Amino acid sequence: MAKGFWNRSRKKKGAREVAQPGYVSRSQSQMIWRAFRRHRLGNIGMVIIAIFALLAIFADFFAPYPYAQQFRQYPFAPPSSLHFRSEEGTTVRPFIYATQRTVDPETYAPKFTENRSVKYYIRFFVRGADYKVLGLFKSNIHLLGAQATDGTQAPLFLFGSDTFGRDVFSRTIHGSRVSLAVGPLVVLIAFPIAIFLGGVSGYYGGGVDMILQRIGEVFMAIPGFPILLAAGAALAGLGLSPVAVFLGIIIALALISWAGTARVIRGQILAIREMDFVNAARAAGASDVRVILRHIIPNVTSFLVVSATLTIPGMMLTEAGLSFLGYGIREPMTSWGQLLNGASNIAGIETHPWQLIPGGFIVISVLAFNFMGDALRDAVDPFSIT
Amino acid sequence: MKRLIVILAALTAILMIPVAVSAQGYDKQPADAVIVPLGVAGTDYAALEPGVRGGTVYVGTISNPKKWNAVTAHETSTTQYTNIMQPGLVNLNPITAGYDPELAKSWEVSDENKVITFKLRQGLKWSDGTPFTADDVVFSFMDLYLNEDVETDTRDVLQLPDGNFPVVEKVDDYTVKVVCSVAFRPILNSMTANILPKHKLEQFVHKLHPEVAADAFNQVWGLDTNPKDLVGMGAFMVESYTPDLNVVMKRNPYYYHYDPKGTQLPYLDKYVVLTVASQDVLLLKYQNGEIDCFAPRPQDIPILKPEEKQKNLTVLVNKEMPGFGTTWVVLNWDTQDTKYRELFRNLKFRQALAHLFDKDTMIRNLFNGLAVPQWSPVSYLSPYYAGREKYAGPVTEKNAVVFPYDLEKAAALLDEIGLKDTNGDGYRDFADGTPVEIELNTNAGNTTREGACLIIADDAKKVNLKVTTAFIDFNVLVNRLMGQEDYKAIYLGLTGGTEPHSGANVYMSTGGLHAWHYSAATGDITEVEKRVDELTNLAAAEFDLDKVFEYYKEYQIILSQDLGFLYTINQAFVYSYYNRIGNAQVASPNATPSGNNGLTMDFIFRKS
Repeated sequence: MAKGFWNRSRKKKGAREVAQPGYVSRSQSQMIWRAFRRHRLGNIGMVIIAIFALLAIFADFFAPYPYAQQFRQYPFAPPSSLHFRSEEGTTVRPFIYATQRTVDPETYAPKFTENRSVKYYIRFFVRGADYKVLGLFKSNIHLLGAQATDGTQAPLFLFGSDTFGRDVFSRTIHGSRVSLAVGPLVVLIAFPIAIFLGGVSGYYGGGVDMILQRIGEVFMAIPGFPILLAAGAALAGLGLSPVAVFLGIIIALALISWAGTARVIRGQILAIREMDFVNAARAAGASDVRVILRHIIPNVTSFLVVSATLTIPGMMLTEAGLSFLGYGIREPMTSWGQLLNGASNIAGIETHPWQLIPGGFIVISVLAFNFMGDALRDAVDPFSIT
Repeated sequence: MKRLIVILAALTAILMIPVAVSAQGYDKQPADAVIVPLGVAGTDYAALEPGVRGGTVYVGTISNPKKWNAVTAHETSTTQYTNIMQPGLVNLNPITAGYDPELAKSWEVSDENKVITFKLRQGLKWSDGTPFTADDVVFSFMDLYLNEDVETDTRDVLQLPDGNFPVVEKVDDYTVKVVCSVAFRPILNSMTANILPKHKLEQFVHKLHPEVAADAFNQVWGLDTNPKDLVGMGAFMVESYTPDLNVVMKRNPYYYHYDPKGTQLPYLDKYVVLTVASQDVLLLKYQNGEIDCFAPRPQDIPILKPEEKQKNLTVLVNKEMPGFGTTWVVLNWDTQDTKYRELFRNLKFRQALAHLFDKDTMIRNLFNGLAVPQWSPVSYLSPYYAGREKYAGPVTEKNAVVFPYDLEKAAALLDEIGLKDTNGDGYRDFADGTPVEIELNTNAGNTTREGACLIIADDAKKVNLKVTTAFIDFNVLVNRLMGQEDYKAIYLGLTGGTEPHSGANVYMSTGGLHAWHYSAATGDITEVEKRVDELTNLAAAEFDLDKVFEYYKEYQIILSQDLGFLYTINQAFVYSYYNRIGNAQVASPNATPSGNNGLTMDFIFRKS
């Protein structure tokens, strides 16, 4: 259906659907939204991202424990085994048994045995460690907890525990804050740079264009990952706080990722600035700033949205790689990549494989972002709408 | 082009011939040969057995050597080879960790303990067949270690308490005299310094040959040296080196150790050290049988132990035998902020912090149970360790000074010195209301140290003391520890040995690594520091070892009570080998085949 003005073909299609005489008029964003909604994988991706975002925002509530809480008696405890049947064989609400850690005197292999005397039922909205919801009001309600009938609690390790006996499930939920924030924050820094430099370069052309493009090429020629490793090591050398290291990594990621986007924006602007409506605006006496902001940039918005959505998973993976190698997020802060670091050696994978679980979250969220990006790209592409 | 290669090959073949005919070994066993009493009842070696000649043993390491020069070497990745190639006048006994005569046959102390006369073994030869004489010893000390042109760490340990250096004199071809200006017992410790061949190296010494540059010797025997030019008297000589792949050492035909049956040692033809990327790769290679001996990490034990029978290997775990060295937290008494300076100088605060160390958790969670609590500046294995009954006696008391994990006691001590939460943020503040926040540093990448810091910080939080952690680059950390940059608290470790005097640079008030209190060197000295200085000097001048032990016992107790270093834990000794290797069971932290000294290399063998 790639013929002529895309809004005309939309009208026809809309008319057929409603099966009523007369036209339904929709704005551009409404039409994009309609097209996006038809893309099933993209919708699934969006829902997953929304869920993850909720988990990240209300991590304190969803996680049974604070990310730094140590259950020291339980290093490398395997995931709690949920029981659904009592000894009599009746189905009851899921419960766990408290475990006892013993070490084999011969092999030094740790062993966790269940103490079957007390059942700790999985309950919702249990009281636990204090936290502040959105940094505003205090609460101590957590979504999940394992509680016996007399109110005592046993540590619930849905994904097992790490060397300090910290709950990997809680850490995974808290880690989503960093892992999910990295991409958008990098985009927030890198895209304004890209838009400004790409815009100036494309609009003015000539010598300015030449210089800016050569600078961009230098940045594109920098091998990204080694530079990030070096930056991570340098940040560590400065003895900064974990939060400062996190921000430093985001800035480093932004600095090496703006150039590609800037180049595409320049190309688009080169094409758009020769369009009749731009010439018309210029002929009508509009200033450069007005022409760029009101006439040109709106025409690249859809590209920017799609590009941002597709940049985010790349940044997530880079952060995960850095943190996995120990050059990214520092203890006691955590991210999914940093959690995977616990499974970075043979002993780790062989004796406590549950530390690999956070990797699944990276895969799922990267796929979700990619699906959503694909769907968005299709939706904003005027020629793909049928 | 083809022709050229043929010519080159022919030339090489011709050049190889003289090399092939040299280095044949001794005609008969030299009279002064060292007899290692393998399997002889009543000796230290009674539990071992005479072996058979031939074969190769493979071990692994994760770092490349930096040079082949024992004098200018700084790092164990280099000395693990040079110590095998070039023994010293005396050597550590691999089993007792005492001093054994090596190139020296015997020694005696005279002139109020100021002169040590060494009788050298006669009839020994360097690996190229040149006879070994007193000239080599005098050359090594006077022209290398004590030559200002030469960069060497050994000069520091040779320095006497009065600032002078000993003078090494030749008496005759097989006798040397070490003359000191003051009596200095630890000088014997320094006589383990490697002896180098004068006939090979004097041409590079500016002092003897003014035509060469002053620093010429510092570049000698770099990695670019043809291994055929390396000459030593040790069990093995480097045959080839491929970076990141391996170091191949072959037996020295002129080695002077023999077994009781008259077989010349070493038993092995070759000793190969594989260089790999990480400890994980080492573990895989060991599990795969590609290396024969291996020093596992605590977390590797549950993986290796179940394989013992099936793979016919032995995993030695000795919880009672920690390695040499110390790990500790140090507070900076000279930090810029006067409030913290006052706080860190308060013994009660240091005691409170010591009570916060949950050593059981550190041992269980970080070392899989394979570590011991540490309290003394002197290594547990040293004969001077204060927990012993007497010099080299049995260990009767493991922890003479103990600060048990006790949060209530810590909180009470913090209350007592006036640290209370005055602004309601949940953390303690100074009396004037400014918040207390202590940053604990350690080197990034060392997971057990990072883990220990996180455990300490977590416990501090439980008594409302704010301790944050920051893991930084090792070199930056060392700069801080050396006092070149400000810091508040550092978690780190030091290597150690049997001789407590090797810690003089740390524990004496004037020491270059007196990390908690550098200002002590400029007069700001405490009573404890005065006494430690006194005891160190007394112990250094005393030759009666029982008296030395008493001095060092007091020294250890007052240092541990004063908490300049707040000691934490020390990893237990773990070691593993395939049973196809004989005599590999001699395993002490300074003797393993994969360790730094190669002390057992000459008598391990491959069973047929």
